[in-house]
Amino acid sequence: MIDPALVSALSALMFVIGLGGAFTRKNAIIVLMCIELMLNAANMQFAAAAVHHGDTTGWVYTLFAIAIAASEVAIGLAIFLAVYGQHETISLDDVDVLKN
Amino acid sequence: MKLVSLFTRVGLLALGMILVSVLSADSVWANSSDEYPTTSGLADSLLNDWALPLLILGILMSMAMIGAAYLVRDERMENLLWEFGTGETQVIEIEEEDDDDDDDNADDAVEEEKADESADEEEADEEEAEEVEVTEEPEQPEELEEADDAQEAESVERQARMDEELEERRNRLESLDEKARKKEEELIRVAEKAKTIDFSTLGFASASDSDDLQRIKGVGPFIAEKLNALGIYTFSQLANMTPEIEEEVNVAIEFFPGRIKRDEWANQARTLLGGEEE
Repeated sequence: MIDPALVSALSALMFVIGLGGAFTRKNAIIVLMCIELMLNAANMQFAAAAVHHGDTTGWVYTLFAIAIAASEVAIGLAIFLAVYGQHETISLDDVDVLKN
Repeated sequence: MKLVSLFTRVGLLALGMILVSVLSADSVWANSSDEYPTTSGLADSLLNDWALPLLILGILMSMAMIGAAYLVRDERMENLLWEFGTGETQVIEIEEEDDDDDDDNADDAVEEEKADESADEEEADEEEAEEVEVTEEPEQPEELEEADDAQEAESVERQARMDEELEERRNRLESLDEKARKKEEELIRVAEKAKTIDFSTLGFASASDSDDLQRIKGVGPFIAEKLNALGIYTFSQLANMTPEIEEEVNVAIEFFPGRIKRDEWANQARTLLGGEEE
């Protein structure tokens, strides 16, 4: 069994990278990927805790988080497509008003 | 700006360190269990303890998928009809609901417009012949200036042939069912706009030497038919398009504004032409 501290460190690193990307990037797709990265950091922590405690609840949480992330990405990409059709760009600097 | 970015980086680094220290030191890691969770255990808890959340999650995901499909739909009626084929009435209902949300008056106006258009088209039948005579001469001045009789005769003949085709289509309208008629009416509308386009630059072609226009990215079956109705059959014609003509063609086939330019049909056609020669 891997030391949980290592898993925590890795997931903290992933979370920080995701957070930084989501804050600083201008391309909407990269922002979406960074959000996914943060979700996956949390998932990893959940899975590690599940194994550590011999309890499946953590796995169930992880599965739920993955499913929610999938639907979120589907909606997000659909919105980007619609935005691109309207504005011909998905740069978040150009698309900063929720009104066409 | 630099300061902000530096501040962000330092902040992120600090956050990462805090996360690591807090997470590693947490008492949750203190007492580990010897037994590993099993997949059957996972199935058990998913389908018993978590059955309701699982159901809700399934509904949520279906909603998300339907929503995504709805968001990316190509909302032009003609495409919906083309794709679904039989689902006409449902599609119309959906479209009209959308309109209702926006503005009832606009909805009415659109319907009136549609009614007017179809009425106009029938009236235009008789006027058509004279209009052709009038618009023809300013249409291709360069060609006429060359005073090439044969060419002139040819263009007149071509015009006559196109008119004939139009007439044929109109006559066919009567025999078609409602759905096919709508499509046919649109094609006629497109064909009538052929007069606005400068075919002396594009070059002429007929159905006999047509290329498979659908090989161009962005051209679907219906758009290809519209292009054919307009008199565009070959890649070389598309390749000859100038930016102005692209714009005119775009308007004539009632496509998304600027889409021909954005999808670079002319360039694509040139590439396809090059590929064929090799």
